[in-house]
Amino acid sequence: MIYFDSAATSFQKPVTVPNAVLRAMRTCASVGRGGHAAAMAAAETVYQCRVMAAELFDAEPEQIVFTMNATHGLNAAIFSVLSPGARVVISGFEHNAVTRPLHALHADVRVAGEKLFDAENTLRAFERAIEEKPDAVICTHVSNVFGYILPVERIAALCRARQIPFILDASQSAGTLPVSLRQTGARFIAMPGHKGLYGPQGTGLLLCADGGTPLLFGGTGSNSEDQAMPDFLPDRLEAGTHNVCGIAGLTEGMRFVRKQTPQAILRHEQALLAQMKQELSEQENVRLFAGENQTGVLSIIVENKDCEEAAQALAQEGIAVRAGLHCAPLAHSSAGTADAGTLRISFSAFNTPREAHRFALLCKKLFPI
Amino acid sequence: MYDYFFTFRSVTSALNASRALERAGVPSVTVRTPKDLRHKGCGYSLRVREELLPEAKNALLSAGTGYQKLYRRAGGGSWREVLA
Repeated sequence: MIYFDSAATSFQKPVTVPNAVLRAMRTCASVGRGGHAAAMAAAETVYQCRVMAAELFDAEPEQIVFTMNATHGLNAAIFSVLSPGARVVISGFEHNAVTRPLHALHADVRVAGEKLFDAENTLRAFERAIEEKPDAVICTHVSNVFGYILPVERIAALCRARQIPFILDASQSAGTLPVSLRQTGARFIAMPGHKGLYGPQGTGLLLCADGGTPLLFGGTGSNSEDQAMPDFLPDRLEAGTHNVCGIAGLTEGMRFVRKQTPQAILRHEQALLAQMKQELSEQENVRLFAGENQTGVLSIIVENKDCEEAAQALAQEGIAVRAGLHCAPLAHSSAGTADAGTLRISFSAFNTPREAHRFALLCKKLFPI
Repeated sequence: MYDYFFTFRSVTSALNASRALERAGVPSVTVRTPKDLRHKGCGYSLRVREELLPEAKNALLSAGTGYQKLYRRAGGGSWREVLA
């Protein structure tokens, strides 16, 4: 199989990841639930992951909260910062992981920046929108549909200057772009473990500047006599038993990212993107969504071909891509592709130029002009 | 003997402190906080030897790793809090 669906989940993992999962399953019990060897092995395993994440994302170990995925983290962040009916500014490229919690809160949402690959336009739109002093700004670092890198550092600076809480969705950037809790001054940064960090599915990180409002209540192995959740991180946002095995795998995924370096992984993916754009541009019936400020994610539309059918035809040839709305109808509305959807190609560190070439050849064969 | 106990509110805080001591060359043992020393319920402690107590306190101070309290095991199974 040629796997080009890493924006959903990176499928090829460093071999150290499943090995660590298995090792944890054999040696670890539950964190903070005892002083015996298996409980302490779990505590050490999870702590190592916190330390590694803290180093990678410029935070303190206590500011690293483990979640099930980025959606979980974004929900925790949104429900911590916003009350029902709150006023929020978001980008035109947000995922349902942001827009659905806001809908549930009956938030008054203002969308800023709907022009693809135009960072200056996006920034100006945010500047205008936050003049009304919203209760929070939420922005994705990279569009999961189009790979557009939004100018989040500058948006964060606008928020800092006006003391507006900023929540960053780093789902598509963690592992390839610089993400810093300290430098952005974000209140929360949410990310999955199973995409660019090469960890197992069911893992995620929420970086927290300070406290937060728990989504789950229960045992933490601390302050047990108190019926209120602990008022300190990470325990406040980590009720119940951790996904110790998944977290062990995530540590190894992050170790791989650190060794390769996020910059090198990004360069590799962008080189594949450039090759793919070049080869597909020769095919007149393929529309490419490409521009400046783009990661290794490329959306295309094949003229007169349903994107789901196109993806199915590719799947039958052993190529994994994703089609449709990618859980981001707002992004498609912004780009004018809400009706048709797109076919999305997304790379990882494990893809090769030969795979990209094979894809382009198959497109010519399967979707002739 | 590891007769001095630094108590912490969580296992994460205890492990943070343990790393700080390790960096300073001070051996310690991470254990569950004894029942009589608990503050609001379960927690973790670092056990440290008496002769290394000053180095341990300095290391935690320099690392900015706060602890809840420091106790010394006294005779007859009792504990005595060590004030700064």
